[in-house]
Order: sequence, then C-alpha cells, then structure tokens
Amino acid sequence: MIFGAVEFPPIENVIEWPAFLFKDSDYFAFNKIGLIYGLGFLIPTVIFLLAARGDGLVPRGFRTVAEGIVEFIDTQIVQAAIGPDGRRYMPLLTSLFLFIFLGNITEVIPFFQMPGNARMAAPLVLALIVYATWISVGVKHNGIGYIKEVLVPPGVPKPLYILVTPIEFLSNFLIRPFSHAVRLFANMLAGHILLVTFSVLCIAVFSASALIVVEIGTFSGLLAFTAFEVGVSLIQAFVFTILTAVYIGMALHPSH
Amino acid sequence: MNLMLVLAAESTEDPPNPVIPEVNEIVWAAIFFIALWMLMKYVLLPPIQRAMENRSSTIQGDRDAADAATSALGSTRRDYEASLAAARSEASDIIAAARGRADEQRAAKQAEADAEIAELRRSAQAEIDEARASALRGMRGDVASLAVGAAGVVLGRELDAGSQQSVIDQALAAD
Repeated sequence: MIFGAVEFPPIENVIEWPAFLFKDSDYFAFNKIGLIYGLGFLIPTVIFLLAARGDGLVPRGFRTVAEGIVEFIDTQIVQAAIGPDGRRYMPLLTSLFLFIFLGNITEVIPFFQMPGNARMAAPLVLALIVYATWISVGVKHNGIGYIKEVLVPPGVPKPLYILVTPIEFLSNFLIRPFSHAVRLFANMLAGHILLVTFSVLCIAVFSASALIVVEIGTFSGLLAFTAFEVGVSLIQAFVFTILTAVYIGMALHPSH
Repeated sequence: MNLMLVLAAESTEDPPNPVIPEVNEIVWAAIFFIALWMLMKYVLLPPIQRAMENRSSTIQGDRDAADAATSALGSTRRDYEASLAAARSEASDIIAAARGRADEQRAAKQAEADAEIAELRRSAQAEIDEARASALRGMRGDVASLAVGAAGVVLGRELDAGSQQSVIDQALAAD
C-alpha cells in the first residue's frame, strides 16, 4: 500500500491472523489473538498463585502486586461505583480489569505489538457477560419488576412514557452492551493504527536519509504515542471495569 | 482518515470488516476469561482477601489495644493528679491549722508577757513611789533642822524645832 513515498501495510494485517494451532478447526483455531487472550488468563493466575504462597503481616513480592491490584479495584471501582455490598463482585471486576489490561498492553510489547482487544471478539464476549450479569443481578435483587423499573422509570409524566420507554429499552438493553464493547475495541484499534502509522513513517524517514531534525521529531512522536498508548491501555481497562461496576450498582440499587 | 480512504480506494476486494469478530477468537476469549473468572472467584482471590482482612483486623486490634492503653494511661494520670491535688489540699489545710495554732499560742504568750510586764511595771512604780516618799520624809526632817538652825543664827537665839515644825510644813506645802 503506497501513500506518497511511504508504504503502509494492508489493513488485513490488523484483521486476519493465521492460526498456528488447531488450524483446521473453525471454532478452536488458535492464533496470535488467542495467545494474547491466553496470556490474559495465565499472567494473573501465576501472579495470584505466587502471591497466595506469601505469608506474614507485611506483603512482599508478588503479594504486593496482587494486593495492590485488589486494593485498587476495591477502593477505586467497587467502593466508588457500588458500595460495600459490591465486594461480592470483586472476582468478576478483578478478572475483567486484568484480562482487558493485559489484552491491551500487548500493543506495546515486542513480538506481540497488537492489542488483543483491537479485535472485536474479547470486547464482545466481555460486554455480553457483563450484560447478562447486571440483568441477572437486577432481577435477583429486585424481582422481575426491575425490568419494568428500567423501562418505566418513576417520576416521569405518563404521556412521556410513549417516548421514554422505547428510549430506555434501546439505551439499556440494545445500545449499552454494544457501546460497552465498541468503546474498548475502537479505542484499541485506533491506537494500534496510530502506532503503525508512526512506525511506518519512522522507517520511511530513516530510509530516505531525511534531515536529522525530522528523524528525531518523527521518532520522538513514536515514543510519545507509545507512552500514550500505555496510558490508554490502563484507562480503557479501568473504564470498561468501572462501567461494569456502575451497571451492577444501578441494578442493585435502581432507585438511586 | 486519509489512510483509511487510501486503503479503501486501493483495494480491489472488500477488506474484511474489523467489527465482525472471528468465531475462533470468540471461543478462546470466552474460555480464557471464564476460566480466569472462576479461578479468581474460587482459588486466586480468597487467600489474598483473607490475608488483607487478617492484616486489617490485626492492625485494628493493635490500634484498639493502643487506644485502651492510652485510655488507661489517661485514667491513671487523672487518678494521680487527683491524689496529688488532694495531698496538696490536705497539706495546705495542715499548714493553715498549724499557722492558726501558732498564732493563738503567740497571742497567748504575748498577753502573758504583757501582763507580766505590767505587773513588774506596777511593782517597780510602787517601789519608786515608796522610795520617793521615804526620801521626801527624810529630806523634810533635814530641811526643817537646817531651816531652824539657819533661822536661829539669823535671829541670834536658839529656836525650838518642834514649835517651828508647823511653819516649816506650811512652807514646804506651799512649794
């Protein structure tokens, strides 16, 4: 793909990932994206297993890392969005945060250099799990009347329900899971394309023996955007998780 | 945006839609996430949370013990200060009582001494008066003898002291 003097890789490089395990299977073909998801499972498992072996009053090593993560999710997400009764959702929220963060951060890790969440699969699966969770939480704690409370919010003049109820149905039951998934997916895909663009630009500028000022500027831009994407990886994991907590909190306490 | 437009324009075939997920990736995402979730719920998170809760309760217990010790220290200090204040008050009362008794004793001694002095003064005065009267009596006899003698010399005859006594007494009384 030629753009001026710069050759860009085709978009298929971002979308099509060949399988290297179970190649013949439609459902279990294992590619680089699957490997990234696997790391999103494996790394937290190893960290928490090693952390559980630690003992003593003062945390050390992996225990420090694990407790830091748990403390962060508890104070910044659970307590902020749900309250004390949200602690029972710590396993889900911790898993979401770590799985998404590790699926994002591979964007800046050599060899991977691709965020797993720049593919729609994980964001969609996670958004559907969250969708099923908050609806079941709402029905479990408030009965089937929870659905009615969502669709027919109290305090609205009755004629307005003609407008409000379809809007609430669309926004809560159709758009919410879609926006939840697409927000993560689109941010990570855009960040990845940005890094690819600057990387290709750097190669082109260095190959063309351009002015040293231009080379330094381009490379500095690549470094800056790489650092920016590290922050985006963290923020997107946080946003997805805290939105989950907010949805669960709204389902637990719909009158709030 | 330009990049996407160029990419789109140069491609002869429709590129795969990046929004449409691959089934195999959905399967692996679901397997790995649900496995992590279940492990996190039943295996990974409970020991970490237990350790954190144990630490919190230990710290809270130590803090409560420290608060209790501080409270006991305050109580002991209050008791000590109350005892000290009572002792000071008692000492002050004792000193005041002693001072009162000392004042009474001093006043009594002073009165006794004053009475003794007055008595001494009275007896001394009586002795002085007696001596004075005695001296006057002695002097009066001598003066009468001298006066009678002197008058006899002047008159050229001897005078009787007894008969002249009344005149001498009138003269001395006139002085």
